[in-house]
Amino acid sequence: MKSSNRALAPLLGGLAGLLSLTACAPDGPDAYSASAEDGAVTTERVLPSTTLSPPSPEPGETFSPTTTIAPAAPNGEVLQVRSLDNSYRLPNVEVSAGTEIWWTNNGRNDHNVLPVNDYEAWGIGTEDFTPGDEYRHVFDTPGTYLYYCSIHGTKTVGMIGSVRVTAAGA
Amino acid sequence: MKRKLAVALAAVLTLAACGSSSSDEAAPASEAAVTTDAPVETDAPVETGAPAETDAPADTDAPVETDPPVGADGVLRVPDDFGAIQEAVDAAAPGDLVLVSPGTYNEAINVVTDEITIRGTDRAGVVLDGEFELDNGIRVLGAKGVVVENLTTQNYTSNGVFFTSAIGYRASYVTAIRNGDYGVYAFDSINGQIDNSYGSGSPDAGFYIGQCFPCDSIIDNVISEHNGLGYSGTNAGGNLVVMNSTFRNNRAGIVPNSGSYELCYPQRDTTIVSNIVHSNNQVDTPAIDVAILAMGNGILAPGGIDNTITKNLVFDHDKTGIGLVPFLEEGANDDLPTPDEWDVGCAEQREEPPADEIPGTLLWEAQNNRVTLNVISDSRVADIAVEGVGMATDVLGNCWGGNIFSTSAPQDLESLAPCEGEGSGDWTLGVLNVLTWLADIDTAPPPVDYKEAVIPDPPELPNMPDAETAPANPATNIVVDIDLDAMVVPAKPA
Repeated sequence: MKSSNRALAPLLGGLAGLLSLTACAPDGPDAYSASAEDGAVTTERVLPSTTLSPPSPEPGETFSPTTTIAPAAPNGEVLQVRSLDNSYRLPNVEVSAGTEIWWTNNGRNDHNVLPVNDYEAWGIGTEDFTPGDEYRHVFDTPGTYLYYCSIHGTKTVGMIGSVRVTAAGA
Repeated sequence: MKRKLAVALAAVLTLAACGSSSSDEAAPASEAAVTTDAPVETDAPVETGAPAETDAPADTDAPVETDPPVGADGVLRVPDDFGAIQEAVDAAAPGDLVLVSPGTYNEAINVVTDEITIRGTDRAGVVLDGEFELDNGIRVLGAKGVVVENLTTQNYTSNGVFFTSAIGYRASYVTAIRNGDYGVYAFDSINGQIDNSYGSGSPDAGFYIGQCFPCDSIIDNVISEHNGLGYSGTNAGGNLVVMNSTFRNNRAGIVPNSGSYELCYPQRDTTIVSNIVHSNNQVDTPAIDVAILAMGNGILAPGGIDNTITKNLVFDHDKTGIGLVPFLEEGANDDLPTPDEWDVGCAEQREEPPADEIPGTLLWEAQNNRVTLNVISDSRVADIAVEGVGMATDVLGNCWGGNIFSTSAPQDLESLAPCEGEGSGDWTLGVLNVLTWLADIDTAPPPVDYKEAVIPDPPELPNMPDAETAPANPATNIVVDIDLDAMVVPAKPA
């Protein structure tokens, strides 16, 4: 039963605090996924796409670093992936290019989100992904992006996940 | 009014989702992290390691005798053949034995090879020491059938021994002391066994088996003391047995619970049998918040379902000897499973998306548990107890029978809900009313830093028989088949 010492402080504040233990969960919709139509949360938090990461090849595919792939603009779509203890839920998702993935640490343990391919410049380290933290990244280039939590897995087993990005409008 | 009080109680038991970690890392950022172009810091385990060199053959035409290659007999010796345990583990093939001689090893071992055995030749003398810097003494990542036996792991920031995503595992004759999360931690792993082991001084649990259903696993003959929790088993069950063990002087003793912060919910179908559970009121231990909130209970099943608690000896607790209570989870990650979903296995559940509409909180009720033939005494609130919150206590389906006890909440619990026959009586008399526990929170002793907590020296702990010579025995054959009729209530220790 992993839990939090952070949660104890409001408890000690008395009954009111006991009944109001809601402050630490990430804000935003409770639904698994949200779209721009859901309102301010999405509109405010969609980050501009600032990176063009080489996509991971599909099994059986080869990846040429000279391939020119036009990055898609952020499309306002947001998909939440919950980092539980010790799994990503859902672990494997598929989105169109320009979609933002929103990882939230909903567990009681520290986690991280690290790309399997070290050359991919996205992800979040442990110190910034403690319980209640979140991390967002817009995937603007088609490909399959593999990731893992180095605390609770390796690149191939344990707490692992993938984002398959399809071409915008495909 | 009763409902309000009950909700408040549940809040006491709440394990809010916003937890901190026991790690030594920096305080969390308060703002959402954003992607940058900076290289991502990685701390992936090193997965390489060359086997030791073997003696080269002489450069002559005549055949010469050569030393057999290191490990040719399936035994890789540390430090004789390899200077570090990790080097031997990396060189090992399935079926091999990594045999470690006495010494202190400041290593964090990662195991990704199936069916290897890591064994110390002397339980107390082979010490893996994390020096409060390293995370896990031995971490088994997805490897099948791995065995850890006859050694000590201490002073790790996370766990002494950590199995994750393992099919087949065993930890035997392991001593785990003063580790930052758990002593022995089996997560998302099945077909396992933890036996003849000792866990002390961890803020979470000395022993943990979680997120598995069916687990097909067993904890047998362990001692867990001076931890936050003696045993924790979040969302674990399905032919899972905790037996013949001692849980003493923790904040709380045996505490399986449900929660959507891990998969495989709810917690159900664990058998807790023939254990000695006593004096779990310890004020000077390290402790996660739940351990503080659950403090003073011997066996507590917050939100547990279909558990069998039988033939245990339970005594000397400030609250309940055996309590069935609700569990309110803030920051939920799914809605509550309906009874027809309780049998869904982990593999199926993990592929299902959570509900479209997720409540802010979940109230997990303790339901359909059987509490029989236990001997419970000296509980300051009640020897046996139950309370519902979202559901009336009398419809939860729990039952009691054949226990030897003095007090219950509500009164006369075995008549209200017997396991055999129809119940009768007044459920409103002598209710548990755990709101009274709230008053204790303000004065509850705070957790002690696990690095600094004063814990007793381990008792005399036996070595694994024939540790130097016994062949490796990979955990490919764990079968959990307990004859409950043959189990007995243990005798009270002197």
